[in-house]
Amino acid sequence: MDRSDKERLVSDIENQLDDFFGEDENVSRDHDADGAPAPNPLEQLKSVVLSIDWEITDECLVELEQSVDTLMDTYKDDRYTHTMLRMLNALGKYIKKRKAQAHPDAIKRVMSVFKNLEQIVSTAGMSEKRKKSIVAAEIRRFKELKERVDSKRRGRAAAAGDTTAGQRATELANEIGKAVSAATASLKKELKALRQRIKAIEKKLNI
Amino acid sequence: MAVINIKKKEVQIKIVYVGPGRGGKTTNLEYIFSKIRHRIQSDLVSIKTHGDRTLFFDFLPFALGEIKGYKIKTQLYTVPGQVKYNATRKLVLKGADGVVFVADSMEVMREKNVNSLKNLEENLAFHNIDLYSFPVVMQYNKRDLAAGGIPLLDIQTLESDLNSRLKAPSFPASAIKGDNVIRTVKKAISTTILAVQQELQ
Repeated sequence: MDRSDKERLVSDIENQLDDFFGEDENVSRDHDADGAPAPNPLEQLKSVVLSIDWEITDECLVELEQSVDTLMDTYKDDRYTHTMLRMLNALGKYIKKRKAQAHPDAIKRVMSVFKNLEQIVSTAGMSEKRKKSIVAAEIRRFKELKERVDSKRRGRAAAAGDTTAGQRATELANEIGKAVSAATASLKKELKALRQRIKAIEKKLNI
Repeated sequence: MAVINIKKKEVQIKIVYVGPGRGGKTTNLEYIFSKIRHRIQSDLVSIKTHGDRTLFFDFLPFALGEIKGYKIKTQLYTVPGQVKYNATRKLVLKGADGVVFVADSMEVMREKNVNSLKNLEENLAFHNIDLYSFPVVMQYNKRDLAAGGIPLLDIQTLESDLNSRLKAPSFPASAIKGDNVIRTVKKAISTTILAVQQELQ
């Protein structure tokens, strides 16, 4: 290939790449229209979750706990976000406690809860119905995991005839159960409030 | 080696993102995916098994379009950065046509960057590839951390540590903010296609 052929090829490739990717490579995804960085409230948590995705260390799990604590305070008045954060908190505590023995699906749950949490927080104008459906699906999967953890621990304890292990499993299951119950109670409360609001609107409209 | 289908007029290239653990390789792919997801039919695939931890990588395939009448299909991969996953790294590097080395700019990561590059050289040699005649793009990631007061290596030091012999195209970047992520991948694709073309001559 002579020099002019090579230059033509380079030019063709660059044009194709510009067409495909666009030319906004210096624009950060976190910047708003004025170019000023838009604060991402979940940035720190995302960084910790990605770290856990690579390697589970005590340091990461402590960071997860701290990030979730901070966000729980920030979102204390947002029921859906708060419920998701509580689930992350429970999962983080469980993984921290069980370390390598933690159920492999617990990490998947962390990733999934975070992904959906991010969707709820970052999607402007998401309907309450949609948020509720996302949170309910996560709670269901969380409960399923809790049941798997519970039965695995009980099975292991029974096989070993180890009542202490059984007690530990029960304690752990109770911990997860408490988190699920709290999340469910919160959802029920929110459902009740929604029903009341609907009734009030219906009354106003004389339906 | 690129997969070339003369009959279908298709060229498939494989570019692997390498570098030390937690350096931002996956974040690069996630950003790229976020920019092109509306244009492609494929998804970013993450293969991660936490139970036995035998296989960890991310995979983003997409069709780039036509160049000189050939459809270019690109596959971007990441490898796990942690030292203990070398078997996976070797496996993912098999058949690679180009690499992006994502260096972590943090001062504390200086030695890990150097070790990771050395490991890349060894792993490529395992596949009979010489790093110094292979398409490589260097990315100095996490430049945004300077704003948070985290001590970073300056670009000159990074160039001297990692790129003095390679002399690969290099970019300071912030994968989390998307700065220079697309420039890096564009350069990696163009360098790789040129190298494949030259190899075919």
